[in-house]
Amino acid sequence: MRVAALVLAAALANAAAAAPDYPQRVASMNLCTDSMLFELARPEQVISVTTLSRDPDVSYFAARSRDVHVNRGLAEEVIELQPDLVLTGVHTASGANDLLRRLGFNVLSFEPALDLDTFRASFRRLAAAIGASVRAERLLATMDRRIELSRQRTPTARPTAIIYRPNGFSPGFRSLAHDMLVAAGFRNLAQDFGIEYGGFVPLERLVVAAPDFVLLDANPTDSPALADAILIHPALLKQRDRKHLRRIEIAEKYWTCGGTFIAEAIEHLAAFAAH
Amino acid sequence: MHAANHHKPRGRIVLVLAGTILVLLFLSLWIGPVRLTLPDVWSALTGDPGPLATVVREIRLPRAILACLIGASLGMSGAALQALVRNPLAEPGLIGVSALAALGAVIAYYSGLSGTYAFALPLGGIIGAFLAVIALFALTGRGRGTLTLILAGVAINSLGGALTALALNLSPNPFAAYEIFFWLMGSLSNRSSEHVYMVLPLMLCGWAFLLAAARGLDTFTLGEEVAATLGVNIARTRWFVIVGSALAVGAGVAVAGIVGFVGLVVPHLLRPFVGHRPIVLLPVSALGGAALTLAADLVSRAPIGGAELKLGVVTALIGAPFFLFLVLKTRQDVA
Repeated sequence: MRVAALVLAAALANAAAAAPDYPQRVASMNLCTDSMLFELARPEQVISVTTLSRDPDVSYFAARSRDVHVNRGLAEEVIELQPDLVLTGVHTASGANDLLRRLGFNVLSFEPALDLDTFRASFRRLAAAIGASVRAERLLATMDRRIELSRQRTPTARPTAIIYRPNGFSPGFRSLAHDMLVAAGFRNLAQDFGIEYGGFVPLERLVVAAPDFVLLDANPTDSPALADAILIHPALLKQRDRKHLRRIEIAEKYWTCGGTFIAEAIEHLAAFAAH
Repeated sequence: MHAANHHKPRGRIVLVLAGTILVLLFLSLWIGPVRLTLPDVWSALTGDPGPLATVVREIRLPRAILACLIGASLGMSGAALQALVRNPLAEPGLIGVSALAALGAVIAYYSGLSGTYAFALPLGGIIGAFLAVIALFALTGRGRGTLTLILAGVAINSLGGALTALALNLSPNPFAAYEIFFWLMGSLSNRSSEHVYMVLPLMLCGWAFLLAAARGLDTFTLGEEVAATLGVNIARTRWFVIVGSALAVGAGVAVAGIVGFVGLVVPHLLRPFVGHRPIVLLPVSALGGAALTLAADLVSRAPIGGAELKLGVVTALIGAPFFLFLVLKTRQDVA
């Protein structure tokens, strides 16, 4: 009995020392909050992330999430874990958002990162909620330093580039991908087309605009879809053969969600822009 | 004198259709998201390679050719199937031939089979179409009437659609599930010359079978007994129509999804001009189908709400009211 009490007291003291009032059991129900949580939290704080996080094509933390409980964004999967904090996206799992709040859970919702600035704000907000502000500032400072170094190497005549996704979708001038392209020294062709958040660019218009670079997903899945047909259309391949258009492959895991690891992608792309 | 009178309007309608196709082909090369002037189109077709030449030759030309091929296949198959089952409502889309063709193509495509062996895609479509025609013929053979035909078509269509949705859901590719719309509503956007080469030989074979069956089909209007006494090989004629329409429709659906109602509308519009005899109606319906599908594809390019319309949406907007009209008319005839 005395031993048990001592152990309990020691455990409580330990927890208090680590983080006085901060949530110790955090569950995330959105791929992008998963990613920020992995960057910021201590491993034992992360009690559940989405199944998407295990997909190495879209998730930077696929390896780490293999050891964590996963959910499909359903409220009931998270309720049984009794977390002290639930992270959600404002647009995804909106039904779950309301349900969890009504049941008295502590829910923190995040907007998708539209650019580097909104990412920084979300990153700091999550950090403040889980007691990781110091770590957040350190990670952001490293990211900003790396981006600044790339920016200094930006060529005076910026080459044009466009991110071309399945079905011909391109992120516009208000997107994280745009900030990534610009920081790496490119001009985003989607901006010339007047695309704001993102939109479909007909293959014809891409061919005629003849950008210097086309950025394609680096992770062609084994399972085909018609959405990918546009990316292997002879019109696109022909242009490439004539060196009007170079192809860069970049994994979407770097830019679908905000993360300080976007600096890696920017450095990688900047090498192409400089040539 | 009598024969001459019969031939004149036929010749005229062929000329009109051929002229319409030429004009529509030209418009197909001219109109698109990238604005081109008439000299642009000319130099793109005849001049040096460049971005505009790529747009016209690699994007718009294959698309226009596919519209012609698919429309011709649907028009001719519709006319042949209508003669075969002696029913004016027989049409590849309505009776489920296109639906099973789409299912076959979806299985061949999303399983990855067509990635290693390109001809698996049209082959899947053809096998699906073939099974549907066989099933339909078994269900409605020997003149069981319009109602059986249409109801069997409804059943095959629903089953085909459901299994297609299921097959797409089983694909691990996140985009696959959204592509049900392409398969059920058809589209020619971003198709390339590879698709033309893929389906052209198969469609030519299909057309050859259908045209070879046309003379036999001519006698079918008199009833099978009379046809037999006239020395027509009924079984052979039947198989030619089944194989021919499976080849032509199956290959078309495999690259463009289901484009409905062309096979229904075209033969009906053309019968007043050329009569009921399949030997004439089949080739003329091919021309009419090509013209209608080209026109529908042009309409589908109009940017309504940002994205292109699906080709099948346009043909259904024309065809479905027409179908309703035919149903009412057929009921009156029966009553």
